[in-house]
Amino acid sequence: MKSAPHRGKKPKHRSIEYQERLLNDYDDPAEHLEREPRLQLAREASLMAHGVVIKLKEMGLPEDLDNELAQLCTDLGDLWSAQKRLAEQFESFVDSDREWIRVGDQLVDLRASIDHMAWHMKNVRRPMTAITRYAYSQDQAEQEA
Amino acid sequence: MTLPDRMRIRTVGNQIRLIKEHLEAMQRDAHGLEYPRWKSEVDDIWKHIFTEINHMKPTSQRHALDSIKELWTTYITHYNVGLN
Repeated sequence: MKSAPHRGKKPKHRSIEYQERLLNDYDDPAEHLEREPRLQLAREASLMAHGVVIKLKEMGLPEDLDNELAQLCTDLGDLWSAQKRLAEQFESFVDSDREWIRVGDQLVDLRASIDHMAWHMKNVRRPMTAITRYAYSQDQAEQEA
Repeated sequence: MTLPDRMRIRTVGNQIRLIKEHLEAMQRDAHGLEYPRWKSEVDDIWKHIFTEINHMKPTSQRHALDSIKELWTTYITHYNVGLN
């Protein structure tokens, strides 16, 4: 059976020096701890979350649903930014060099994003249901008026 | 470094960045409706970080603890940890 042809870059020569560099320097785990956050993405997520609050408050969502609104807006804002990050990580995973060390690192990164999304997807259900019920009840009241 | 520790160190790195990003979001509107929810999530991420570090070998723990020290100290100083 023929092995699958390589897409993109061919694997680099695996000299002992190269393997040592991979193990010692290449995206060193300790250095990874120091990498910078994506603050612009965080600011955009914050704006998206706040946009949910502004919209629903302007539509008259009552204060007794503030807790649900707070949870809904932060969950949606974070899911919005997390899906952008996940898409970038996935594209990077597919396009990057065929090195196992890189595959391992990228799968850990993907897992972190998926876990983060899962946390929000679990939490968003209850407040989303509460506010959905309120929305339909308001619509029904308007139809009957 | 063991393979599980390599995964844990990288996971902690990702979670630290997530905390920094959430703190950025929190600082934009400290009196907003969203603030308590962002903080609750950050508290939860810290718990995950310490759980990961707790499972590491001592050498990896030292690396990880050194890397989170400044952020953790800042966090417990400015964000009322343990009071809410």
